[in-house]
Amino acid sequence: MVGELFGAMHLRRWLKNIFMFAPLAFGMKLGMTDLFGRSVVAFACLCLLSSASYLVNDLVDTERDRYHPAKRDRPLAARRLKRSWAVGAAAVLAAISLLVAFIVDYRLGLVASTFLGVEIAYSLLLTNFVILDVLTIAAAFILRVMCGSVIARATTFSPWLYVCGGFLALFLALGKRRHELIVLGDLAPKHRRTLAGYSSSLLGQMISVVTSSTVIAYSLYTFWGAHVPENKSMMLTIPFVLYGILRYLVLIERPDLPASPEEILIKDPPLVINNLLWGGTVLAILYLF
Amino acid sequence: MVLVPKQLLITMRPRQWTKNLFIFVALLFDLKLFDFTYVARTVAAFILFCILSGSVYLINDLTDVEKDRQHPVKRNRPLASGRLSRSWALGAAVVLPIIALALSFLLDPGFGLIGLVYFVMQLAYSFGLKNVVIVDVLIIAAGFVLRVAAGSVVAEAERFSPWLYVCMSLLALFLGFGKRRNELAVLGANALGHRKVLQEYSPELLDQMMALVTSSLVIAYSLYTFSAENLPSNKSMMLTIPFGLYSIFRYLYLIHQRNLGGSPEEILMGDAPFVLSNLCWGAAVFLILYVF
Repeated sequence: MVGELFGAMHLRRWLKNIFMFAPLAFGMKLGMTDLFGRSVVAFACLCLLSSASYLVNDLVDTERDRYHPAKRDRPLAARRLKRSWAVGAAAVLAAISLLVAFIVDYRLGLVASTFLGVEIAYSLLLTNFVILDVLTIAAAFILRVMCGSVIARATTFSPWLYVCGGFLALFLALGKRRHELIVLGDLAPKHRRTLAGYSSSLLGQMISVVTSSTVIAYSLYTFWGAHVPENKSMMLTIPFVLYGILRYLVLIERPDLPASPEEILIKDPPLVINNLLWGGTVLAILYLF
Repeated sequence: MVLVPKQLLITMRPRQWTKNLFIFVALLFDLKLFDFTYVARTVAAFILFCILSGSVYLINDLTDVEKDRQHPVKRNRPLASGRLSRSWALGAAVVLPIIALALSFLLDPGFGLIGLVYFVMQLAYSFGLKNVVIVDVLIIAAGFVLRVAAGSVVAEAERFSPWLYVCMSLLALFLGFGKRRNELAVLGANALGHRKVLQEYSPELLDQMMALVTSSLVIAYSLYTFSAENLPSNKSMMLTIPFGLYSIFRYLYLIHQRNLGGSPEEILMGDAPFVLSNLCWGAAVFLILYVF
């Protein structure tokens, strides 16, 4: 039962919480051990909180998941995990992580509570509204960045971080919907109600809006943002961002790939290498030169 | 003939006057919403613009009267159906713009000039440019920018950001291309008879153009919220981005999924989520600029 519980906690999706380290990294504070330690604790809190919300999500969606070719094997949909266990685990995880968050920093507790609230509101209600569903996902990403910002004791507010992060999150969410439309075809609305509201051409339009915005915002950041070197060397990282976005656009068109961004981000070697190169270059430019 | 004023008013398309509300944008963003003088000047400018834009429709219907008589819907227009006599319409079409332009110059010479440019441009649109691909939509957009500029002149705006001009032009282009795309989708094979210029546009071309202006609009508005001068230093204006984004996406949704968008004025009133989002945006902008 414990193994199944871990399965329902979607550990892979914890990857999204790495966004939390952005304010620390881009605020030049990665070397401060006390802040880094606090960030790791906050990261753990976010991971447990998001797992609690995934449990709630799978509890709500059990019936619908049974229509999905891949999701029908989830512990709750496949009846391998008892609902009572899932409910209990969600409550305990949420309680512990919120408690720790409030102990670390009361503001972290507040942002983390909002995060949990947004995630649960998404599962219960907002996931059913076209457009609002992807905006909520982006809001959750922004709250992750805010958690990191609180922990990093950011003194200056960095709008670029939020704009780039928000548009990137929207891109991932819209890409996921486009991929689901391609993979699921006519069954799509049964699995996700809002897919009846999205069409390939509408998603294409929305994706071109958020990708252009991400690229422009990131490009402007590389020469206008705080802490970027005088010699504008941060501009060297633009190609990686461009490649990453374009590669992801190619991948969501392919029906043989898994639908979730976490898995695509892990499993596609060119994308993994590109993202590592991007991260390495950013850190080298910020901290070494 | 008893109801000449009413028939005149119908011909001047009061519904289209909602577009003239863009004159108030400068007043709102220049923090002069409670300054009586400027509110009065802007209201006067709004009324004058309504008369000017209404006169263009009057002139338009006068020249098209024969063609409109053949059209299943347009034959019911006051002039085509004979409920409004041509002499009355002709008189009004000459007198109203002259009075409106004279009053505009009295209100503010700069505003008068903008009104004149607007009027001439709209006539050029009616008598030819509406059939020139791309230029047709650019003129519609220019009309919005002139409205905003007119508002900025009469409000003697000092804090009106250049970003907002960029945003307004892109918004107008977005609405213009959206309108063309809807006309293509709804009218299909009949599109040609309805609007000659539609034969030059295809859904793919319009989607490309819309993707371009929508992206530019979203990024320009985002940049405005945190890099324009005279905004709260705590960047709280960024909180209005989600509402703007929702409205734009909702509009795209209505065009793509519901085949709406033919007349922006009707969508503006008809779709509850869209209206709600715009109201929230307006309320958020107001609160951030005036209250906090």
